[in-house]
Amino acid sequence: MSNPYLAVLKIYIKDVFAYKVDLTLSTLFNILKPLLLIFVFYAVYQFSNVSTLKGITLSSIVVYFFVVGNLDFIVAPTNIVKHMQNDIKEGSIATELIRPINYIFMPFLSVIPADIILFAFTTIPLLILLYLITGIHLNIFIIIAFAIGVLIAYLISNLLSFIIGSFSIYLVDVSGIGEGILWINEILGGGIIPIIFYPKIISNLLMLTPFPFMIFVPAGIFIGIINTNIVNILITGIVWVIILALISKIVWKRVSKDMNVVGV
Amino acid sequence: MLSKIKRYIKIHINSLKYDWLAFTVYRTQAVIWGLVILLSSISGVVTISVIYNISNGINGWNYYQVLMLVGLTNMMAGMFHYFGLDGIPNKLRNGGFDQMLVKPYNPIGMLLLFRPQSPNIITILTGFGIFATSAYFLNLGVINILVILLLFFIGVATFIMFMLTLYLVFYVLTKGKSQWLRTLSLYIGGTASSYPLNIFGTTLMILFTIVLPVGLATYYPAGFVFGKISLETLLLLIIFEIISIVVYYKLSKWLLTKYTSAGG
Repeated sequence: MSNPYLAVLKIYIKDVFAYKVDLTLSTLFNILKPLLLIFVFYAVYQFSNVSTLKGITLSSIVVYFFVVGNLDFIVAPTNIVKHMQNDIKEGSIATELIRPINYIFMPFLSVIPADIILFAFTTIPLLILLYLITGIHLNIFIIIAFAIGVLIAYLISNLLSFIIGSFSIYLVDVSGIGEGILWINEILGGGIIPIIFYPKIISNLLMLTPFPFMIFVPAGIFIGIINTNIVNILITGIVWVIILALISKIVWKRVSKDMNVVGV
Repeated sequence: MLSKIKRYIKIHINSLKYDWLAFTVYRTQAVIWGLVILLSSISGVVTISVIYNISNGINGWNYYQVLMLVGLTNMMAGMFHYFGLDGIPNKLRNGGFDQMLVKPYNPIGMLLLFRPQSPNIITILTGFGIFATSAYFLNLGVINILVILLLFFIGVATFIMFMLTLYLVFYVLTKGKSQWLRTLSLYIGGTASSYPLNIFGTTLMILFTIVLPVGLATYYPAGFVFGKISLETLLLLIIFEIISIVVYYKLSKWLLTKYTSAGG
């Protein structure tokens, strides 16, 4: 007898490849997106006539934006939100709940195939290419720390999405909150600019939130902006994962009760 | 002709009122979406503020001049969403255009004017606020502001007609999803138009003027008033814009004749 979770995964893998042109072009443009910011920073470094800004060289910034561009679409917390909202609003959750799969895993199963495919076929090859072209310093410790950082980023992003998606039972449209998190992530997480460029007090405060762990921390470890206290930073990220997992569980437990009451 | 325009404006205003009521009927949603739109609007301001805080900025452009480009970009992005351009592919793919075809109106007019996305007024107003702030600090006179706004509106009209044509071409050719067009126009185009185009080099500058004409609404209007674009160049661009609008309009109308019910 086949594993029901694997069967669901297979369906979502097929779904990923249903629109190949859109998938290819979207991925391509996501990768090209950082190119423009590189031009901007090239102009800034050139006009300021400096080799580093806040200790970051132009070549580090170039690699940073490529890494961010590659991670951005993996940690964008909107697909789980959309999935849960559709299930709850259209009532299809009733069917989902009687399947031999715990619903709590369904939203994650819906996004994991696409994310793994994108990560394997675009992120990893491009990171290897970046390493070969730029010759940035990498060792086994940095590679492992980066991998853990990406995993933490992925878990934080998806757990946040799960919490937001759970509120579909109370709100008519939660996709706005998902989009909001996306923008907060871009601004406060290092998506549009490394948070090290912010005034020190702001960047220190931001490191106390989960947002930098979604983009800045993995990208910073990869390019060497974060080169001290890496273990402590990763432990803080893991703590955030645990906190968000607990919140997710509590929220879902509460929401599940209300779902029975309204009969959705 | 005048009565026809009046009729379209009347329907547009009524559609806008209806959409705004539908948006604000759920107040929590409206507040959340409002905040999200504000967040997305200020990301450009944050980026350039940080850049000018840690460096000398961009050669030949002071902070408020670049801020003006950010404001104009926000207004352009707001209008792109307001006219429901990114909803057009779905309308064509799921047969939503069927009901429009039976009405005695111009199909292009119906696509752009009869389904305004009212929440995006917030983006347009935020963009205008940024524009007005920069104009104030740059001590721009009323005439200069009016010149910029006039050139901006011609540029936006060109960009909107270009995007409409692109969506229709892609629909006719593939009938597939076109998420990539959103990435191309909003992320790549939006980033490019927030900065002086000359920093991207000649090839990309031409690309963002003619191929993906985002610069027509931002860089050239502001650049002309700041004395960075000559009158001859500007006049040539205006002629190009007018010809483009007519060509894109004719092409869009022809492409709509290829529409097959329920997305084929």
